[in-house]
Amino acid sequence: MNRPRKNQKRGRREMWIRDAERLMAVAMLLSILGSMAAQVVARYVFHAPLAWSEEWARFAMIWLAFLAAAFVMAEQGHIAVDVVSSRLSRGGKAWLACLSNGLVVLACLLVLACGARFVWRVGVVESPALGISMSAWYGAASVGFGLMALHCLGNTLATIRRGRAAWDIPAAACAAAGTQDTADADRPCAYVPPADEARGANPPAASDGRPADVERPMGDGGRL
Amino acid sequence: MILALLVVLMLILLAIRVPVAFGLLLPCLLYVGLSDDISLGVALQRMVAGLNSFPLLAVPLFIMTGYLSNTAGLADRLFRFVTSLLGGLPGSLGYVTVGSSLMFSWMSGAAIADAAALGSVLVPAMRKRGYDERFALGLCAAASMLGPIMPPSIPAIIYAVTAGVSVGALFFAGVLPALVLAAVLCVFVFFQVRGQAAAGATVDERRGVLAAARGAAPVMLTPVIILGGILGGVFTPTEAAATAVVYVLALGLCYRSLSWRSLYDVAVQTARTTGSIMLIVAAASLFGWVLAREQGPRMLAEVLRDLTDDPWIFLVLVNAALLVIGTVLEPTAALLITVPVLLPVAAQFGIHPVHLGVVMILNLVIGLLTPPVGLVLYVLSSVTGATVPQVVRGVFPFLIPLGIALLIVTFVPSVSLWLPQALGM
Repeated sequence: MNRPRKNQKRGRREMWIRDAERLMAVAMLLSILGSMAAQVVARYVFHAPLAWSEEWARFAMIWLAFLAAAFVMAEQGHIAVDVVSSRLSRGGKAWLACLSNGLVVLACLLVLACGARFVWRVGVVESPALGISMSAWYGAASVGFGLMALHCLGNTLATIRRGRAAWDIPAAACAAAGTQDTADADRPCAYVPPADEARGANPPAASDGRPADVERPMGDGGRL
Repeated sequence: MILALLVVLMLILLAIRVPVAFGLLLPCLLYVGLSDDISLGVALQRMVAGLNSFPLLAVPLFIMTGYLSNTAGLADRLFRFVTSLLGGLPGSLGYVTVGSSLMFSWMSGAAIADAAALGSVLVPAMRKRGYDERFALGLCAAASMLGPIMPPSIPAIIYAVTAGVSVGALFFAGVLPALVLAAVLCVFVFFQVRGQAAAGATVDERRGVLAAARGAAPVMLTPVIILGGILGGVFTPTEAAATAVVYVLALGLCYRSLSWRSLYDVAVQTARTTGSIMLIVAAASLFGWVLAREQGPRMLAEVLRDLTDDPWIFLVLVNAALLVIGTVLEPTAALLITVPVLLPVAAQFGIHPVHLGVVMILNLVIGLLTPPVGLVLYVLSSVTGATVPQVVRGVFPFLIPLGIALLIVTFVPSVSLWLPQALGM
């Protein structure tokens, strides 16, 4: 009785992190939009070009990229090639998912290990217009890869628990394509809640040999 | 030698379904880690430097323009206008599809946005009027290719940033090739609909041409703002993208077609697409650096020079290679990997970087239509309810007009180069 609840709890905690990443990524995106719009307005309406807007937008972009990459990792949405993997059995896919997730975690940890000293050392330098420490610029990559390692570990654990690769439960492809319906954006991609899991446990195979529910996550949405 | 090992390792990683970004990253990290004379921080520094680029900021903003205009129902307004305009022709819905995509492509920079917008409206419409379903699916897929070729274009920004070419020049270089593609598609539609009885019927939505035009006019002002602004030197492509987002947002608010909830969803969706593209940009920037350090382009150039001196044969080889790469890799990723290799080689063959860019983009977006990794196929299948194999069968004949357009763009450089040169870019 205890175990499933624990698992659920872990899942929920990671969802919370993912939602926070989403919120911060959106904040960064809007600040890029705002600073670029402000730059145009300041130049043409007030005839007083801003010194900081471009630098801020680039700074926000770096954070946007890594924060978004982190929550996309939580959704299992990163673009991957499934020429080979689509031919494997369900168990084979699960093994492959564990292997490739392990390699991703390895890469993240390598970046963290390689970059830590560098991020620390460049801290004495500041960006010209805003005076943001270079540690905050390069730190975005460290934070991003750290979060990605975390999510990837979570995904691996979920794969082991479920005995099925998360991208085998079709929602990942749509997120990678950026086509997941916007109204549907909150549906957990990687962490299928237990009820859902039971429902979609044995998808009937469609004519092309893919599980029939491949179409589902995009299909029930509609426009974009 | 080292380079060959890196590439083989990369292919193995991609085959076992490591995400593309990490498939690029891991071999490069090993390279950096195992070299004695490189500080380890270089990996991180190169990745962040790859993202620290002002023109690149246009990518999330143009992605947002596309999502926002679709959510705000602006794409529907364009469709209605095109239908009212072309509805009277025999086989009209075929031309309406090409025309609608042409209109929407001025606002969207990605094929999947076009495919989703077109497929959800026009495939059901064609089905209802008795068009061949395969024809409808294939045409929507082929017409969605206009999105990433016509400015604004996400692949064009990525190419321009990687190759160090002006984003504006590459934007305008795409205009004529997109028109060529649209024309070839129209000719193809003309021959295809002749055999279809149902296609002779006209659409009776002609009545309100003026009303539809009035509804679509503010929307059609968006590309004027974007391209006019860039051309007139009013603002940079990045600022143009931000202005376009603000303008589309204002339109959506005027039409009361946006809610706070849908705005947040659009922002999350934009961040999602940006995140998956930009992580590849970061990793590819490290890969490009490793490639340059190992003198990969020079070696490839030597091999190719031994093979041929003719720039045309070189272009044919490039086309063949990119079509193959395009079947398995998504265009952005493929551009980021191949541009650092091909650009210096192409320069030796005397090929203009802008021309090369248009050829590469057209090649790689055609890959979006080919299995196994054809995002447009999946998008169309999801918005229309057709199965993926059905879409594939529908797309197949349309590879002919796409191939013809590709040949024209490849072997007539002035199609790409004339407009930017005439505009002095």
